[in-house]
Amino acid sequence: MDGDRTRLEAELTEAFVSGSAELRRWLQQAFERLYDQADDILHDAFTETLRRIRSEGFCSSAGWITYLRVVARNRAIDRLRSCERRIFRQLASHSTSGDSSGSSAANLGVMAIDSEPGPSTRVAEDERRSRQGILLSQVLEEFCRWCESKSSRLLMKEAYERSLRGQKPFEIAAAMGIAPSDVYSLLHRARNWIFDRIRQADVERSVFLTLYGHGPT
Amino acid sequence: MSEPDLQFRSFADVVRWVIEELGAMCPSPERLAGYWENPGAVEYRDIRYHVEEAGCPICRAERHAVDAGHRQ
Repeated sequence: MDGDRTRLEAELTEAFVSGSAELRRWLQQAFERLYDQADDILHDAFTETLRRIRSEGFCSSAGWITYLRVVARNRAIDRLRSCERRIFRQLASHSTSGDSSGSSAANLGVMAIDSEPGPSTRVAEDERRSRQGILLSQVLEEFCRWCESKSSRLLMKEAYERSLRGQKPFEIAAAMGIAPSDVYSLLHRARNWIFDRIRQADVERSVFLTLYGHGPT
Repeated sequence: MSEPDLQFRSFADVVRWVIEELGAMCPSPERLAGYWENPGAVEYRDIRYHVEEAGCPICRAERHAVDAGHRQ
C-alpha cells in the first residue's frame, strides 16, 4: 500500500516536472489575468494532488497532466472568484450611482432600484454582503449545467450567451436562424430561471443587495 | 496571494468579465470534449458559437493543451 503511494507520488512528480512548461503555457493562455500567478497556481495544484495521493492513495485514471489541469483550472477560478466577491463589494458602495438600469442588469432579469439606504439598512447590508453565498459566475455556471441537462434547452443557452455578450434580439434571431419572437421567449425563460435560482440559493438576496442596495421586488 | 488589479465602472463590465475570464458560460468538459470530436454536430451549436464566434480563451486553451498532449 505504501509502495503504491510512493509509486504514485513518483509518477505525479515526474509528470509535473516534464509537463510544467506546457501546463504553464495553457494556464497563461486560458487565464491571462493570472499570467504572473501561473507558477503559484500550478504549485498549489501539484501539492493538492500530492496530498490526495498521501491521504487516500488517489490515482487519476485520466492521467496526471489532465488531472493537474482540472485542479489548476479550479484554483484559477477560485482566485478570480475572490476578485469577483471583492468587486461586488466595491460596486455595492457605488450602487446608487452605478449602471443599475443598464441592459446587462435587465439581461439577468433583475430590477434596478435607485435610492439611498439609511444607516441601519447600510449596516445590515454590509453584514449580509460579508456572508454572501452565491456569485454571479456561479449562477451562470449552474444555468449552463441546467441547459445542458436537456437538449431542448441548448438553444436557450446560446441565445442567452449571445444576449449577455451584447447582441440584440433581432441580431440573435438572424444569427441563429430563428424567429425574433422565439428569441424573446428563450430570453424570457432564461431570465426567469436566473431570477428564481438567485432567489432560492441566495436567501439573503445578497447578489441583488450588493449590486443595487435592495432586493428585487 | 496578490489579487489582480481590476476596476469596473458598471455591472455590465462585471457581466462581461465573468463570462470572458471566469468561464461562466463555458460548456461542461464532457460536452466540450464531444465538440472537439465532432465540431459540426447539431447538438454542439451552442459550443460552436461559444468557442469559434465568441472566442472563449479558456476553451481554446483547453483545445491547444489536448492537441499538445496528443502530439507527445
